[in-house]
Amino acid sequence: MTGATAAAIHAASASDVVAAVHDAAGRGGALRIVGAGTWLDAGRPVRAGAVPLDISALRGVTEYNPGDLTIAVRAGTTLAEVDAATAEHRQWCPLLPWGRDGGTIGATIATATAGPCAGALGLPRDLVLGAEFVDGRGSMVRAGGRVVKNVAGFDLVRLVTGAWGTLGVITHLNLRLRARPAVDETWSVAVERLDDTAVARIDALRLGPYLPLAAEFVNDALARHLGLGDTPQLLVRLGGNAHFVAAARAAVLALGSAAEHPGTAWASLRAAEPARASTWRESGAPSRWPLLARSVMRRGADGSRAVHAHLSLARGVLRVSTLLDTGDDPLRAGAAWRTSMRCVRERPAADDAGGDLTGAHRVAGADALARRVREAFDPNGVLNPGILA
Amino acid sequence: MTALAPAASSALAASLAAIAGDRHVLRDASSLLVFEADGLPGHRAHPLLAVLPGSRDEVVAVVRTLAAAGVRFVARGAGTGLSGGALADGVVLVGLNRLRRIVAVDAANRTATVEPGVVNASLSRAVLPLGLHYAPDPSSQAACTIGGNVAENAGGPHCLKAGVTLNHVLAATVVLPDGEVVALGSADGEAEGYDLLGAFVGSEGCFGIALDVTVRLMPNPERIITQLADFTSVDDAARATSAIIAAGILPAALELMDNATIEAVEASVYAAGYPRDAAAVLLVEADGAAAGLDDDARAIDAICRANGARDVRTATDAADRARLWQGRKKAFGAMGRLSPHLVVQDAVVPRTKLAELLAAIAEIGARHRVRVCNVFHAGDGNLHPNIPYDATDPDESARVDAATRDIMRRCIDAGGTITGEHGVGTDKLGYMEALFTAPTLDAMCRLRDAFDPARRANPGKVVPVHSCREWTGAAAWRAARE
Ligand SMILES: Cc1cc2nc3c(=O)[nH]c(=O)nc-3n(C[C@H](O)[C@H](O)[C@H](O)COP(=O)(O)OP(=O)(O)OC[C@H]3O[C@@H](n4cnc5c(N)ncnc54)[C@H](O)[C@@H]3O)c2cc1C
Repeated sequence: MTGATAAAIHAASASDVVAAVHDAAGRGGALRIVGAGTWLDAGRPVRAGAVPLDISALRGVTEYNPGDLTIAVRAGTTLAEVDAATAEHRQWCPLLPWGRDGGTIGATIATATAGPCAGALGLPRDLVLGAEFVDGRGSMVRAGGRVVKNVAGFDLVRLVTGAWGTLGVITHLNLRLRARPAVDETWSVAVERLDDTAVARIDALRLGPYLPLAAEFVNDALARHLGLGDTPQLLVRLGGNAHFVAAARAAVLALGSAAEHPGTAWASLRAAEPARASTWRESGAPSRWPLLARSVMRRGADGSRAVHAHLSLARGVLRVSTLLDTGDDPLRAGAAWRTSMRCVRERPAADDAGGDLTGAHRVAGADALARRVREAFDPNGVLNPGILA
Repeated sequence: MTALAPAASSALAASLAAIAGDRHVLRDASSLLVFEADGLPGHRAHPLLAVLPGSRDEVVAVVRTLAAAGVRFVARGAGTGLSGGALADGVVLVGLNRLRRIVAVDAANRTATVEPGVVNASLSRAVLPLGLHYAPDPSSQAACTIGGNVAENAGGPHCLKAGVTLNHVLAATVVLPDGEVVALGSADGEAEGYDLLGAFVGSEGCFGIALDVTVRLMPNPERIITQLADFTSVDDAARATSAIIAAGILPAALELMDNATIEAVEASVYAAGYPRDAAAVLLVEADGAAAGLDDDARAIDAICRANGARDVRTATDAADRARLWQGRKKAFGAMGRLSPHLVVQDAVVPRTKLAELLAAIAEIGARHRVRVCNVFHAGDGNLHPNIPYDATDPDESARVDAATRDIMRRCIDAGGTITGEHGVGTDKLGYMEALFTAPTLDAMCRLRDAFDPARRANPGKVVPVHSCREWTGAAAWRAARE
């Protein structure tokens, strides 16, 4: 196909998607799947020349039975629409992923984007019950189902969740919902120092019975940006019945000087990543959170560029965004961070790394297997080629 | 692939014995007897031979030997599976029971890495001193293995709040059927890329053999409140279940037992003190942090009474709780006393349709003159309509089959699924086409082929062979050539 940017294809139905895939495959072309387009590249560009396939018109709740705590939605439905539909019944889809609520549910699942509540309420893989998708051969697959427990057949739902569209264009989803907590409070605690005492206190909350809905360590620059204060903060969300939250609040207040915030702080944090930023994600065993936190807590700037960092305590996942000036090369801007992270990423020697699984039976990654999976679902490389490179 | 000639089979046995030792390769009919059936009644299959490797290295060597010989195989844990998944018909059976080492426990991150033959309950026992447990608790937990749990994506009463096996597995080392060893998922931070671990969980032994599994451990709850609600109608109990869920309360467990089950339990050594004249009881457990737990328990009590419960009683102490649970956990055993065989199905329906489905099941049972005992994970909508029968009686067997088919049909029509935790195996192959479209089944075959292109692992299970387009094509091609 030529280098010229072809006009976008606007799918109005799943069969339009089937037609677009067949057409692209026939021409030896490629498609770049687009939801609301709020986070298109995510630093992962698709091969040049891929035709945008816009699925944002596949929109709306198709079935919602509050008594079952499940909902069926078309993939182009925005998170805000899902939130509005479920709020009426005091329920929610607890994904609450990083990004803006104008993003689509399809993209959230395709990228397996989690958010601050994922440690307590589940990752995308834990919350998707069924998925309809069109694979790279133009086959319409209806995986999983509507019910909350299902082991019938091989798990194609987990397969497309987080595959970044490379195994199929998701057109429709069935999701598990939760009741919104009766009481929902947000507190921030200033973290001046992360010495052993502070770590032990925070660990007591992290590992104790009063599991917060979210506990996010926020560095100084991001804390300032969010109006939480000038020092690094622990932002905590408590949810449950009144007695539970009262006890959890006491555990939070014991950490240090705390301030209460409106729940909108979470939407602000989720959307804090600016349009022009270079973002890295680091993930390690949760017990090593202090290492990750210390590396970012007061490094609010990288030269002239601001650096926003936050860390999900329960999952040990750190996100670092270097804000870019126009003309900055996004890859170079984050280089310093990547180097400083290397020490954190290195695995300590496990007690029994191989056990009796000896060198002769060396464990490979699963790259070859992943390639075979890709070929089985998208043999011609039609769907988002290059995005996972 | 046809059956091995006797000479080839002896040569294979010799190679396997060189790996696992003579004692651990079984060929004669009497030693293979224990491997002829699993928990699915009325089905038997004769393995070609059984090999029982003693280490992960030996498993890899065994699988590579089988790959080199182009021989098909079936992995087997404890053989408690209820869908025939571990049945090995003329192929090699790889028994994993000897791999029962807990490789590592990471208390700080609450994970454990275990070999596949570790028995579910023994893992929780081992981490008890750390105040932790492994949450998925199939009723067979005293016998079933973590490898089998992963292969079936097993559930259990406490999976309502805690989630099923899938939600508790962080990583696995897997030997693919061609002998390649791959690491799926990540125990040290979250992995990027395809969720191949998610695809492996629940693959029923068709995607390779798990050599070790890293699971999440959960803290033991500060407090547990166990309640038994007593109903004079099954319908009321089902409605109370839906109402509890709809009210946004997420109990740790919410199990329903009907009168037929109560009778079976109370007449057995597992008698739990259930009210024998109740049409149904709900066993509801709330657990977690102490603060606020009483509020949940009070709300559960109120909803049960509002939906017609005669009485709701709370377990007075740990012994009382254990007794209430024993009846539930041993219900299958108790039913076993009623007749020689027991059909155990596990279809799932939307939770708001429980009352409707239980009425339909009662009607179907009456129509086919079979006795249905319902004991199930009500909070998940995961039915277990169990039918005690005598498999040697052809008339009764035919009626049981017909009733099972009708129940499945109703569950599918209600927007449900055919299995919530026991797997498809061989038992539910016949329903797959009613549940999934042809392109969906074909996609499942393609996924299997990515893991096992030669289709040698647990052949013939999960997806009907004729649903795999390319395979069907190959068969047609071969037929045309002959
Ligand atoms: C009384 C009773 C109660 C039960 N209650 C429940 C329940 O509450 N919830 C529930 O989910 N199930 C339940 N089951 C079903 C059964 O116990 C589970 O499916 C269990 O996970 C099977 O484990 P196993 O070790 O016995 O596996 P097996 O029966 O030996 O094998 C099951 C499948 O797993 C595969 N397999 C085994 N090990 C491996 C491995 N290492 N790698 C790859 N594949 C492997 C086999 O090939 C087979 O397909 C119950 C069964 C009984 C008899």
